[in-house]
Amino acid sequence: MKTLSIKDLLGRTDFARGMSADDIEFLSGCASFARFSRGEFMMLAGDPCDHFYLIREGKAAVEVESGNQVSVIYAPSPGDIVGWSWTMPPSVCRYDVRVMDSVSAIDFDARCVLRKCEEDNRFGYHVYKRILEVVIERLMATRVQMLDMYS
Amino acid sequence: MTEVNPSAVRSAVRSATLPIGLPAMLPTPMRIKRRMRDTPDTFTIVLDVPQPPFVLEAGQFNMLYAFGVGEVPISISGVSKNGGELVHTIRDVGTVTHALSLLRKDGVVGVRGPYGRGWPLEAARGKDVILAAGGIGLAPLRPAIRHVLDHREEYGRVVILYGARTPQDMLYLPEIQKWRGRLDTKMSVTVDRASRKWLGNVGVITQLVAASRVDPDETIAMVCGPEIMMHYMQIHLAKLGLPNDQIYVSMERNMKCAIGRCGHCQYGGDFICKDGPVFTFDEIADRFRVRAL
Ligand SMILES: Cc1cc2nc3c(=O)[nH]c(=O)nc-3n(C[C@H](O)[C@H](O)[C@H](O)COP(=O)(O)OP(=O)(O)OC[C@H]3O[C@@H](n4cnc5c(N)ncnc54)[C@H](O)[C@@H]3O)c2cc1C
Ligand code: FES
Repeated sequence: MKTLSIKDLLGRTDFARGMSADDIEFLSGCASFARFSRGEFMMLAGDPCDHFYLIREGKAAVEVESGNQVSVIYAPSPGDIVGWSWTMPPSVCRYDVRVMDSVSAIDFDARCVLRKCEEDNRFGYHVYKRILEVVIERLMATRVQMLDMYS
Repeated sequence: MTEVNPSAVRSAVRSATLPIGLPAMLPTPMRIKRRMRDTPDTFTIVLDVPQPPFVLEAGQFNMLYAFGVGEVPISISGVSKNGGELVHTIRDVGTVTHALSLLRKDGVVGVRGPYGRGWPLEAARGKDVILAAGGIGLAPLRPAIRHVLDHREEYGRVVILYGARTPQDMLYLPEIQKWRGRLDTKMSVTVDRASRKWLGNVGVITQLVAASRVDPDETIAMVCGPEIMMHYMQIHLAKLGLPNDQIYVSMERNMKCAIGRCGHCQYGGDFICKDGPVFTFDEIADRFRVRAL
């Protein structure tokens, strides 16, 4: 059985939909495969945000600690992008992201992506447009969550 | 020239043919056989039907009378196979629902019904079905879910989506576990907030819609929950490719007679008690979430 390359896998995701083959290849140059086991942290609040992930399998939990209570505010699952604080300085992670079900993901080196965005602004526009889509989607979902609509 | 609203005419014609008289307004006393607490503010009562079977359409409601206090519309959330037990799940939000919450086993409730137009189970036969409930909206939708699962071979892909505020606010947990365990049905549950103990989805119910692998041309969606939730669900179902006449929602308004006579539940040209409570989104799109309606 042929194993798919990162470029092939990325090309099949919603995140890369509409990107040219060249851009996908360019982006793949900053990506590798990653695996996280249950209980591991993919990100820790306060750490430099120098990676972001596209989840392929499994589930994680975006957590906020307040007082001595930890609340899960979102549970990213396959197809979701985790981490976008790298897009703007100070590029610091805002939340803890803990693995609920073993996660396999495409791991992007954010510094490498940023460098390529600076070098090639057209490519950068396509990457930022997709990240903005993710941010808008999350913002809308958060607003609906805040409405407390089942009360 | 005054414009004639066709749905108002439709409604008036239907009212004129409705049997009216004392029996329609007279509640039947029914004894509470069992009472369960579902969540901190929601409880379920199982009523003993004096002359079974109680025949109903999934999605219909009864008027429940707390004697000496008042009457409220409450959906029928279940009926036993022989029609001898009637199930209502009620959230304690005000005067009458609170009075009902104080009743215990052997307490008596006045019941009128069943009333209204239910879920389109016939129209959905042979098609893919999305059944989506938010909060206490699972109660009115449960008879439809049970019907579809009991007649599973008559439907295409079946997707059940349920959203609640927290894991503690979820209704019918043992039954949900059974639905989740079925290999012929996709059931997804999500909550708005959770502690670390919860291992399921956290996020809004609308985010579950995109993963429903259905054929949008051949799908019927039945959506039940607060209006704001149905509003966002319609947007996401439309993104999936479902036209408004394939999306059904259940509407709520204050009611008095429940038989299309008093006008309390008027919603544009329709009376929710008898033209609804289930409508296609297409039928109500012009007035859905219009303020003061
Ligand atoms: C067709 C239909 C089916 C229904 N099915 C169910 C059901 O299965 N289970 C159920 O619990 N309820 C159901 N309802 C809603 C139920 O009828 C109302 O909650 C009830 O009429 C409230 O009456 P009350 O005297 O307890 O409250 P009131 O004293 O009239 O109201 C007190 C306060 O509660 C608020 N309130 C009123 N209704 C609601 C509501 N629906 N949700 C939140 N706050 C409210 C009012 O704005 C007010 O602030 C249904 C309504 C309709 C029209
Ligand atoms: S409640 Fe009287 S017309 Fe609907």
